[in-house]
Amino acid sequence: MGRARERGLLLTALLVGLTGSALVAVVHGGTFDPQQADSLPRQAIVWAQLAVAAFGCHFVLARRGSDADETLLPVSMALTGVGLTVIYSLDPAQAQRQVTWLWLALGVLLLTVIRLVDVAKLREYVYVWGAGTAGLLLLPILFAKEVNGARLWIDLGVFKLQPSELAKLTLVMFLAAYLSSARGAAIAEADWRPLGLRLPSPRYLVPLLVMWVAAMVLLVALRDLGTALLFFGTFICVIYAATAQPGYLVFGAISFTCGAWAAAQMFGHVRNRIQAWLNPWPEEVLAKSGYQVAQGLFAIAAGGMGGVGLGMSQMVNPFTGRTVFAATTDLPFAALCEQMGLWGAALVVALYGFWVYRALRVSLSQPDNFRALLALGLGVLMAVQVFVIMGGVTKLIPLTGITLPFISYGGSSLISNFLMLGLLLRCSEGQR
Amino acid sequence: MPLEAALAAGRYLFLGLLTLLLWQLYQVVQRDLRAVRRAAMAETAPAQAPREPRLVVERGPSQGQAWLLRNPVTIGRSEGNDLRLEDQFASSHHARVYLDGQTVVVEDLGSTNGTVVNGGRIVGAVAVTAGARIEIGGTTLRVEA
Repeated sequence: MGRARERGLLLTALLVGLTGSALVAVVHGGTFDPQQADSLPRQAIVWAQLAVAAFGCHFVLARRGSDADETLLPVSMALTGVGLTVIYSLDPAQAQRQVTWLWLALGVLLLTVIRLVDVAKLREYVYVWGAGTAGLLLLPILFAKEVNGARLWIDLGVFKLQPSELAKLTLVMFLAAYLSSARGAAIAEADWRPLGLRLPSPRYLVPLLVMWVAAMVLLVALRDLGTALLFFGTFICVIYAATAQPGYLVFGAISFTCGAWAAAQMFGHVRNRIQAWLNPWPEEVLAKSGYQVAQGLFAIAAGGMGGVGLGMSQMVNPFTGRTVFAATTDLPFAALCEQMGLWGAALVVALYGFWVYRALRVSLSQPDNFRALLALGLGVLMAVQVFVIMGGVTKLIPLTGITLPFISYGGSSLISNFLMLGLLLRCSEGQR
Repeated sequence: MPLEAALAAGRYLFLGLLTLLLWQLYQVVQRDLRAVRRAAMAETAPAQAPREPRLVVERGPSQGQAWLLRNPVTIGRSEGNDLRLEDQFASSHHARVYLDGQTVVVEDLGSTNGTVVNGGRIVGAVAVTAGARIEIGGTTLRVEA
């Protein structure tokens, strides 16, 4: 029943990607040379391959009569299709690499879906996840080179790894496992009331403090406001859901704002970002950090209602063929607004909303706390990440270099997003 | 020009497909919500329609007979009673069961052999709750709500 629905949805989702990519190929010159990255036969082959992989996951689920959520896979594939279209339009060579990453990511999804591990068992490795998160975040501090003022990537020669993309997953697993344990449950017992706010006694505030310190260290060591905001925001939301105490939200927001303000005072990189957010137009700002923000805003404005058309982005300079800096990783939402207009952008936002809604729905149907918090954490992670990057591009908050899930270019990001999808599918099985 | 027309068509096909996907998703949500509403209705249905108090003959010649208590039910040997008892232990106008607001009241109309409610003989009118047993001669009645 549900799987039949999934088949229909998946078909539409894949057609979205195929249509988009084919249009870009036509606009880019429409060659029929299969060797060329954005030629028509090439696009057809790529989408045929992706369809095989996506339907492979579908059939694995259908084969064992699984009642896993039938909408998450199609929604994710539609977002992937939109993303690949946008990357093709900005940088065909990068899109070709992205297809390779997609293969890997879908492979990871398939491995998760064939029940390689029991999701409930993941709970037992609570300290592995805790240490893993810390380790993954430490790696770039120790080994990474500074790129554009941020230290996020480890160069492994063949490719660059972005450990923070995997660390966000281990963080959610750690939080779910820790907060569903007996010790975590004690955090929920509020018995300390400073200033009339219900808070757990000071010793249970320790994890909160540890996390705040970690977020600040991230901010300082990685020079990355976006990642720090993503981790801290997810942490606060999950701990609030586990304890139902608004005090966490209040203190979390206050402490993060104070920390970010202090960081802006101390570090030029953070200060530049905030300056570009408050006012990107003065010449000296526009020349540096304001440039990206301004290009994004121009692109969004150019899009209008229905967009300028796929593959016709002005973010690609027609004379040099060069694209606005980091357009495929930081600004795909601006490119999407430009090419698909408000119509397409609103639909994409709705797709993310739907993804998060399904995650929360899966969370509510869980019989045990661990899986409920895990599903909730995955949904919150998606919501916070989409908010931070979309808010950044539209100048609601300072623009930071985190990825737009499923759409941005980046292997680490794609793999961790499809891993999130796989975990959510596994959580949703057998819970109706 | 045909290329441009084709491109415009393709562009709206793309947006149309995205919109179609969202419409399909909307229908999935609608179906889910309907299922939830149905489940909720099935759970609350009995509570929503509280049953009207009834008087049921549990044992005796007219066993199984029942009356809604919206009108008083009279019990006795003489003609004209709602429940006519061919019983030498029943008086001609023996007892009456009626609603006073939400409460069920059993009233003995001065019978010779008395009316027994829940094992005790009553005098005059007595309020009873659901499940109360009323014995008159060889007949037992039960109040249901």
